[in-house]
Amino acid sequence: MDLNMKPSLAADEMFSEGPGYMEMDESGGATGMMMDHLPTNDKHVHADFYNNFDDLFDDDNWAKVKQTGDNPKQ
Amino acid sequence: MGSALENFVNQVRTMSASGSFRELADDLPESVSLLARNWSILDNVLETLDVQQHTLGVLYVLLAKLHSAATANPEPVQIIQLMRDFVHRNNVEQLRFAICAFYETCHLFTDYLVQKNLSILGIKIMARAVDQIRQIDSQLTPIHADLCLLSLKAKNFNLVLTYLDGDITDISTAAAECKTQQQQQSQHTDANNDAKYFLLFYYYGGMIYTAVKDYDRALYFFECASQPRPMAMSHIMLEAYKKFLMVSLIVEGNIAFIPKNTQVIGRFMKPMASHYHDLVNVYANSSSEELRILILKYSEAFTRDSNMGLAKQATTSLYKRNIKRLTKTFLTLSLSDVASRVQLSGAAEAERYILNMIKSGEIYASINQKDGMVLFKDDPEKYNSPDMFLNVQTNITQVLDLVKQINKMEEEIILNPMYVKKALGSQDDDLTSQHPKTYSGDPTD
Repeated sequence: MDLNMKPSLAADEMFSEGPGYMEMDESGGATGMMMDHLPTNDKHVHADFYNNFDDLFDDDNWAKVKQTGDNPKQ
Repeated sequence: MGSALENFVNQVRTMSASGSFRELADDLPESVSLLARNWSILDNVLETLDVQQHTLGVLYVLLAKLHSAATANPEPVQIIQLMRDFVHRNNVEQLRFAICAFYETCHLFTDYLVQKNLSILGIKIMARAVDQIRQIDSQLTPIHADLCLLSLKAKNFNLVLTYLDGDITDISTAAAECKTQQQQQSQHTDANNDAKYFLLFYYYGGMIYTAVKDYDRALYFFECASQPRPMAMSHIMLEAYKKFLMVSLIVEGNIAFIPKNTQVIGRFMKPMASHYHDLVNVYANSSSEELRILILKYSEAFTRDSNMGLAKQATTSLYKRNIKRLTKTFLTLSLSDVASRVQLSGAAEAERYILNMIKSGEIYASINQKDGMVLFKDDPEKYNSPDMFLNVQTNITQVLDLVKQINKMEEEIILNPMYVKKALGSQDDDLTSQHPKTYSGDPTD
């Protein structure tokens, strides 16, 4: 065995791999009832919602903002 | 002041004095167009009213002012001051009779600030508005979305995070609040907007959590925004779905689950987010180079969606995932070996990645600067310290509290007449569906 290599690990089967999320109910609940209000004759809705933001997920953009002296995460 | 406006002021003063707030709230929607037409003398009207005593009257003047802002072009400072004064001095008991008008005023105020590029000045005002109108801390209102939008535009998240961090157990909707027929028919009440503001809260909230790199919470928010099963395809859901895919890669390394509205996703979202699905497929190959090439290929689309930063974060996460994979196989490895195995540009970049990962606790390792070797170590946590015991105990308490809360909510839902009606309705549907049906078209449609 290569000395730089680790011995292979046995899988821990006590914990199943997976997302660990609880699935939300299929047929609505409060959100489902609210969605019932969406117009059924129009296939696409909310096309005019506000979505005009800078790329907030680019670290380079944040670095630029910080260079100007304004720290938005503070 | 014109006689029509004098009548308006007299009506507000008389009915407020006699405590006829319900009747006043029913009558006032008819005055909006009159007030908006007379925008040039609305300040005179405001001088005759007191925010505390005549909350409903002042609210409708504010609403008219915001409606006519495009033509009247008022001083932004004046509008902000009026709104600030209103949310701090109004009478909440009166305000509750015209919640929909208040929601609409807040939406228009937010749009106005965004348009004037003064979002930062509205954050505290909108937070105050939320505090005033929600009945419990865990109630979601349509103006939560306004608070999130202003915070995103101002890139200022400290205050809004306190509203996002709590769990939501109740939703205040315009449809539920505007119970009277007259209010529902009025021009400023649109029950369909409830779905829009619900989705916007979770979409904007997901963006805020992504910006502060709380990816677990961001994933939950994007899931909520792309989860509902509407009859139509919502563009908010589509954008949330794109970000959901990206953040899912960063958190899980794959798409652990697809939201259940499979019909809408299959028909509309998948074709409209095909670049993102390609990215998910390439990510699964674990080849950073292939992923980089694909992102370059689709850079225009990702930039157009303002998701290029997320694509870069996904690339970084793949490098990290590949380095982490090495720690499971090797005890020691040279920096240049790490770089070539995970397709980084060289030893220096590999060192930068490994140092960052050590710092954030993602891996346990040390770097020997002399010979450029990395020594991978096991997690030092033995789960036998008092701190860890306290940690586990706190988690158990939280879970038990959550179970109690869920049981309480379940009981409330079971007793809710709307739920009972819906549940009985679906039982009827089930009974009907037991009878044979004839399908003329494709049954999968």
